Amino acid sequence: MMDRYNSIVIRGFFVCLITAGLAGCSGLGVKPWDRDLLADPMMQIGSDGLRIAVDEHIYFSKEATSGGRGFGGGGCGCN
Amino acid sequence: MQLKPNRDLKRVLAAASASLLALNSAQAQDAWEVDAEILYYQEQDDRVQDVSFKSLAKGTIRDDDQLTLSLQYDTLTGASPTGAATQNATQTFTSASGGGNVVVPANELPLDDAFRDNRTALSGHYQHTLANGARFSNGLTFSKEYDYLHLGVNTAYAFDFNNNNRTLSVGLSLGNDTVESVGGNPVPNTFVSSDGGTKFTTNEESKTVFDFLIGFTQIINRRSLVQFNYSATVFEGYLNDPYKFISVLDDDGSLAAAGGGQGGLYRYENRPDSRTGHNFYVEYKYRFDRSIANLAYRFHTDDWGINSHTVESRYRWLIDAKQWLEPNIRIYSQSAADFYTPFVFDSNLPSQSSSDYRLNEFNGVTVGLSYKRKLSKNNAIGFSVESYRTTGADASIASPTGDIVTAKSTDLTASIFRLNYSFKF
Repeated sequence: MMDRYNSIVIRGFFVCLITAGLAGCSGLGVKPWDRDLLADPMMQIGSDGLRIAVDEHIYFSKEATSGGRGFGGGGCGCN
Repeated sequence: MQLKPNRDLKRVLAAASASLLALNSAQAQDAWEVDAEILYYQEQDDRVQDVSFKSLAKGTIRDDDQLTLSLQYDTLTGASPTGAATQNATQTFTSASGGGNVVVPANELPLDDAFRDNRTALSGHYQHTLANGARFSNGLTFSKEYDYLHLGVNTAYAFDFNNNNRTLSVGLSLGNDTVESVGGNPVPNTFVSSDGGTKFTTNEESKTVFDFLIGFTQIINRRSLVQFNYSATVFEGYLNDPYKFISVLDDDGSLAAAGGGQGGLYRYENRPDSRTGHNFYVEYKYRFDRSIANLAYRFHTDDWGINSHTVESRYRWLIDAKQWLEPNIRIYSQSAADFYTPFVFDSNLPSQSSSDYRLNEFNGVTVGLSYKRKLSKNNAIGFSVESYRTTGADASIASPTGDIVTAKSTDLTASIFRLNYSFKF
């Protein structure tokens, strides 16, 4: 049951990815002069670098899974 | 040939945008941004406490090249779960952290209060922008604890296409960690001495960690963008926690007696010596007029049988040009590792087992609130408060003779406080 659920999640992820890719062909994106809001550093993915690094360190030491945003493994003998 | 007016307008605007970007780039020359943070992390019942300092400095070196340096220093104290199960009688065992004998009252979670460590972590990362606008970066990572050393290298390449509306990035990372625990690394599956007797140990143990990541970012429209990442991580080598051991029970569920009447019987854990995991990650950002919403989801699956789902959301309310307030929530859920067991039976000892509560099935919820305020053009101060709580599943396991033995889950409640300051020069 869990395996089936996981396989649905993985398939869903790739379906989203492909859909986003295909949809891009039909008009996703902006022209250079429409980047006023996106140019704000707060709109960048991973803009809170320090907070994210500290969060990842806390959760790495308390949970069995890590990463996703960036590289996930090693670097701490955390108790 | 005369161009159509709207095409002329587009050209003029594009040229103006390019000039503005060039101006911004010139202003960014030799500019450094530094973020520094003090963190206080406290678990309930005087369990782990961490006071940590972390700083991240990002500088534009020449042209569009960027150097990022980070430093973190943690001081960890408190008590950490040993892995032994709660019993309805007093338990005595030798601290795996070198703290002598530990006596645990009946019905209390066995903790090792000799846990104490300092951790220093350094990293450097250089990003070079190529003539076509693609970014090529390389980094080094290092961290040292009393009993643990990490060394790592990483590299990544990212380029934009489709009029800079899409970014594709690929990265690799390789790490080598060595552990030399207090009193030696215990030989897996050997019994813990309860009277300071012989501890069978090995010398330094190590593991390698290899990461691969591929990411795709798409700008959707003027207000939103989305990122998809896939990453794989392979661990090889010593993956045990040298300070964790497991209660060994008789078939009736009571703690087995160690030889010579020396208290209860415990056995050091033994995990598989390799692990391959996969992460699927998606993050979406939307800019409202006065706020920014962020939603992320991660699915993890690996060959230890652990699957996890993580949903995280942040909503940044831009109070005015100088300050923002941001509530956040994170919901986490994981299944147990195949070899997780809260205890083992003396009459049927498994070859691989761990009672580390972090490998059990559990759910975690984090809620928090952050605030940041610009003090001047180049200075800002902020703070955040968070609560992190995990609740696991109690286990009921049938003994070899059919008796049902139950073990309560090891839950966690932690408070996290941060104070940060950022400046540019």
